[in-house]
Amino acid sequence: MRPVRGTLSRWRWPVAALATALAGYAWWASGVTPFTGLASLAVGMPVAAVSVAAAADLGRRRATAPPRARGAGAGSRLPWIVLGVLGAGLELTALALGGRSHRVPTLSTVVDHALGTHPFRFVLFCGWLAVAVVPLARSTIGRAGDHAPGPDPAD
Amino acid sequence: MPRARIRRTDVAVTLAWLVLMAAAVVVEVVGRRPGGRGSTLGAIGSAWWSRPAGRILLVAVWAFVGWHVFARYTVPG
Repeated sequence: MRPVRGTLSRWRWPVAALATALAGYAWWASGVTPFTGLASLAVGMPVAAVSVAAAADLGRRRATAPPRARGAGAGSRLPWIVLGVLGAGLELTALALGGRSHRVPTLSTVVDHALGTHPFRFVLFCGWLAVAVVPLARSTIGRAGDHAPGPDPAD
Repeated sequence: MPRARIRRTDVAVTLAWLVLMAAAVVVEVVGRRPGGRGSTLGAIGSAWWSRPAGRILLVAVWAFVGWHVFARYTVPG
């Protein structure tokens, strides 16, 4: 049985520090002028960090984790396939019309309407970072829990 | 095409995007309910994440979305 409470307690401060640092980074990155080298760098740095962490995590997982049961936790994927096909169809139609069509806007054109304010860009950037960082952090914490000798005596 | 008609089509397609996003949220919530038979986005992502090729694809898609949305956006004027 995994000592979940002890593991979570041990990781509380590192996770809080990481979240604060990422929020600060997101505020800066979401304020950079688009179509500049700095804007590409602001997105490229987390991409590089996540790529390295994902590769390292995959190597560790191969060495330690038992193989997952095939199809474990997976239910019907049909609704996602239908949504994906509808979204792809709408996007391809919009792109075929030039990508900046007023009649059929692409998904990014719709999102652009929301990117006018810095606070909303900041929230979206935080969400974008979370999509990659949360699974990696969970994987790291989960592995630490698997290897922990027992609950933290401080608890 | 008359301007008002273009505007209506634009709004209709924007609404279609919003409906698709809302439908995705509903499918995810239904999948997470106890005894829910639908697959969640998290479960699909985890399945892909556990394979090297899937992991590369997910990181590539994530990187493209970030670059496209945050480094190359144009606020409509």
